Amino acid sequence: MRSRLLVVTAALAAGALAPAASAVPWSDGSTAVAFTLSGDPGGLAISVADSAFSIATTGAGASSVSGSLGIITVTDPRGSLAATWTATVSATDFITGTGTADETVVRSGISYSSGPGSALAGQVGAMAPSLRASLGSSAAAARWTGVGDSTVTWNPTLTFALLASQVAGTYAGAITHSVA
Amino acid sequence: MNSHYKDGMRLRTLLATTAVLAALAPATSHAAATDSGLGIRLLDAPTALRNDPRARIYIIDHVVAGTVLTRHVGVSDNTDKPLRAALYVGGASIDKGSFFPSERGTPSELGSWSTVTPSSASLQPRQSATAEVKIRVPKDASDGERYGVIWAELPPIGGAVKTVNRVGIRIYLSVGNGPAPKSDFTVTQLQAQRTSDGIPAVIAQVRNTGQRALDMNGSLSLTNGPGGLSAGPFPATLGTTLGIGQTEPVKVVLPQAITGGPWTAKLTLQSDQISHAVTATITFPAAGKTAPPVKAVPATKEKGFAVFATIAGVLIGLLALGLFLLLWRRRRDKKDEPETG
Repeated sequence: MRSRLLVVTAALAAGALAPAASAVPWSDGSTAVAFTLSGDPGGLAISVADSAFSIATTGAGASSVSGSLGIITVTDPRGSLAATWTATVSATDFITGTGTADETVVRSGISYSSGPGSALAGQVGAMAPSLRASLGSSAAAARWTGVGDSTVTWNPTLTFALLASQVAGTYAGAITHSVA
Repeated sequence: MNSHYKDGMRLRTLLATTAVLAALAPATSHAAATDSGLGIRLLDAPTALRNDPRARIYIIDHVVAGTVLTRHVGVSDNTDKPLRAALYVGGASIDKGSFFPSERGTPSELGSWSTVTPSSASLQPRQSATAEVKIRVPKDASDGERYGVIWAELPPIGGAVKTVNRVGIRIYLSVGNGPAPKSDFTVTQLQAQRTSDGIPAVIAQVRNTGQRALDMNGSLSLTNGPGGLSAGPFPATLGTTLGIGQTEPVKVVLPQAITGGPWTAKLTLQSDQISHAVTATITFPAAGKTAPPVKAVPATKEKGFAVFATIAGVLIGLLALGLFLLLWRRRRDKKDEPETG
């Protein structure tokens, strides 16, 4: 009985926040009828700290080098009863000089750990972190499942696997975060 | 070692969230952070899916080939600086219980069918803009569900290491004649386990038996435990997305204080407007062990059976009473006969 009560109340709480559907018909295409969603004007949002990111230099012969990317913040003000988002991360190869084999860290040699992440107090839900996810292909960086709004931050650690013959230099590449 | 630490962290977060759930803090309004970056949201949805909570946040539709769909999205700059966002549609796939968007530039059907107008938005600080998304489903498109995302993407920032951010709205577009394909799922079994540092969890095997992708969420309650204890509900920890025909585990992590049992576990899972509850009697094993899987019984069927059994019981009772009365009366009549005759 208690559990049912809880679920109902949670539904009500979320329902109050859920975008109110007003019947404003839309006419276009064959899915002619649409209704307008109103709610928080912000929508699902992502931001990454502006700070210039660089990986700590390492002595010759190190097998890997790590650094933190800076704070990632995902905000979900949509107030859904089943509020879920997934952040995926992908990388390019990192190259220096002309990008020969010894001047390249291939993307499959880059791994991503989100760390535990932190949510604002009072939020209902949990973040599933990632641990040493290989960026050989797109990987889940973090997933959130909860009820209602959420703001979650994490400071990921990137680890680059280095060759024994890796050339010293400033390596350039890109890391993309996608939240949907 | 590291993963134990992780589990510990996760449990702490979970415990905190469970406590919040129990306290029913409706604290959601303060979550509107002042500087949340680039935002996107859906501005309209089909009337037919008015009651589908997913249709409020994702583009979900079922159309015949040849249809042109139009939706509107709002893109917002939630910072104090102007932003320029590229707007486009990319493909996505569902794999290992997760929704995986393709990288930009990866060819996809949805990407080639869609146009976003304008294709980029210059946003002033704290301002938002509206864009129109048109999805032209070709006449010769094969039946089936397509996945994709409408993206708002910021240009790369940073020095040598560039970071790119994009935020999007998922698209689950089903193409085919006739009514929308059914969505459904079954929960076949529940399995109790306890990690080596003593954290209990329940793992449910969920199979998508319908013709559309599902986004699972739900909770687990424990009743009839040792000494009549009850616990929960505990939220399922992963936002598992299940592709058509796929079977994936949905995990519910519980507080360490949950004792062995046996417990009657009731797991309620839902996606869109479909909800199924199952029960099973589970016992949490010792640390580091996983109990054998237990077949899950639909809770509704059980309830239905209980109602049936009650009605049957009452009917049988009435019948017995009637029979007894009849016999008793006959006996009395027989007894009466010689006296009167």
